[in-house]
Amino acid sequence: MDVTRWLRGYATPCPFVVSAADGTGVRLDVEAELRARGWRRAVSPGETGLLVVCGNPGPELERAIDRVWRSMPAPRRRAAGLDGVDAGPGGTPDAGDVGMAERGDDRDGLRLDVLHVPLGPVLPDWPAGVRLDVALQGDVVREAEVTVVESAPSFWGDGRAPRRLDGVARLLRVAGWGAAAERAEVLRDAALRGEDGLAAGFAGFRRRVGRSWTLRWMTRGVGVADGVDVHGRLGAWLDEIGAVFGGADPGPSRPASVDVLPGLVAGEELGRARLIVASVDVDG
Amino acid sequence: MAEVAVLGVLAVAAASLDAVFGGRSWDAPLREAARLLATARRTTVRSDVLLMRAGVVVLPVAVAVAAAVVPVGDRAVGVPVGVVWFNAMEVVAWASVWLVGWGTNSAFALVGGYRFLAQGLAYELPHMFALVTVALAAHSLDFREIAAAQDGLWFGVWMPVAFAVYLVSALAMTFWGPFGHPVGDDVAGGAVLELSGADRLVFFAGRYGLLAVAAAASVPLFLGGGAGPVLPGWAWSVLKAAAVLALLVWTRRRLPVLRMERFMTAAWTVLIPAVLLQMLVVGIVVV
Repeated sequence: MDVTRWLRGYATPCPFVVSAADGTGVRLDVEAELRARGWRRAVSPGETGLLVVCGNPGPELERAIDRVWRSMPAPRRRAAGLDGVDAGPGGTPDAGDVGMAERGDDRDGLRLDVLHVPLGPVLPDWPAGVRLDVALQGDVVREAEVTVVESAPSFWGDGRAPRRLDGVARLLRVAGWGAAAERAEVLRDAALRGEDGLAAGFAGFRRRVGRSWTLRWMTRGVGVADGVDVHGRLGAWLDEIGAVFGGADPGPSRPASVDVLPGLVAGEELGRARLIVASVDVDG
Repeated sequence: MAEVAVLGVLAVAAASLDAVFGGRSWDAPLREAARLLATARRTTVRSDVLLMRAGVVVLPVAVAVAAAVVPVGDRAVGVPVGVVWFNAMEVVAWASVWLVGWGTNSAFALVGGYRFLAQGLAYELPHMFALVTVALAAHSLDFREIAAAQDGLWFGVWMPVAFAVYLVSALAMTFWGPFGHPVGDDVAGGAVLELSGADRLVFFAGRYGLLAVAAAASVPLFLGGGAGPVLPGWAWSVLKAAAVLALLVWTRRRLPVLRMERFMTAAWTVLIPAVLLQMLVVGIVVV
């Protein structure tokens, strides 16, 4: 037992972060705190026993969170933020109630060629409160149906730059470029605090992302809507942020409706579908 | 087995270096290991536990068996077909990722498994041609003889295409960084999505081990083995391996992930012809 206690004391927690529609502000605090403490986020619930729920989930999201909670390995604890969550034993191990049969419901489709899988609402780097029910054949989305599980007034208000930087960070994470995404998050948090003189720092970041030929190679021609692909939408966001930091008028903001998503992801490979969803501004 | 011990140290160093590059403390991987050891293992509904565990365990075992034939300085188990042995052990990674992805009975994990099979089709042929090019130049499949054949001029210098292809395929076989799509964040961890606790620890330790052994093998293959001034052979081997390993680890910070749907075209129309051309040039020079 002492060895286990020592291990738990030495271990760095690795939270699985879920955001409700009204949890954006808390999520940003949690992400900043994770960076400051040098902790890593979990990308799947199986990785960890620590669940952090940002905001106030509605009944439907709560059900999804509950399913995720029951699939997490012991010892588990749930928190509403990182305050009071330390490296250390904490919480109470409750290995006794790990019931997982419920997960089978999602998997019934395995008997068929078409597998029905929900994307979201509990999924990292995914718009809060949105669920996309996809019919998968292999790793190709055959068709999709979108549901807004819950919504809340926009957290961002007039903050065009931080809002876009949040979108850029999410898109870069989905594109598998965590280092660049972290940089976008740092800029986002600085912009949100109203720091001045971010233009130079952003210009460097923008050059690095814009010059990446691998990123262009992987995002060109993906999810074309109105003649613009994922790479084009990312470029437009970067232009917009550059305009705000440069003191120019970024032009009108045109948020998209989630209703465009099913049409865009139909027929796409899952990885491409994730890029497409991350490239469409549906957070409102 | 000193080689395997050296490899273990290199693997931990690689994990540590990745944490430092990411702005975390050097012992973050050790703390992560402690966390995983203190976390329960769980399985998913109707998963094939035997297949999954086999996939998890086989990865570090294959890495250790591969490491035994890679010389550190002059030391190594003398295997006349060492390169073939090494290559055979690398291919176990295919089985490992697929068994884990399939065995856990989870949609995203299965997608991750499929992705790695596609990745294998893209990197394995260029990889093998790069190894064959080296063997052709050295007239041997024994790592020690290959290292000795580079007296004065490293293979990495006069066959740069084969070396570059080897490095790219090393990233691909270890599903690391730009080739991490099989375990990508976009599918919540892909093949390893459902791994928890010790299962996860053993699998990722094996992955870092694979990265380390791929770097260590590049030393006798392309960088003259333990040859170098002043320092003893083993020290040069370790230094060169550490440098290659650092380069491989660093790519994760620099590049987004590559999807095989697009990379496959480049692999078959650029990498394979380029490495075949390299082999032709080497063949003409040597024969």
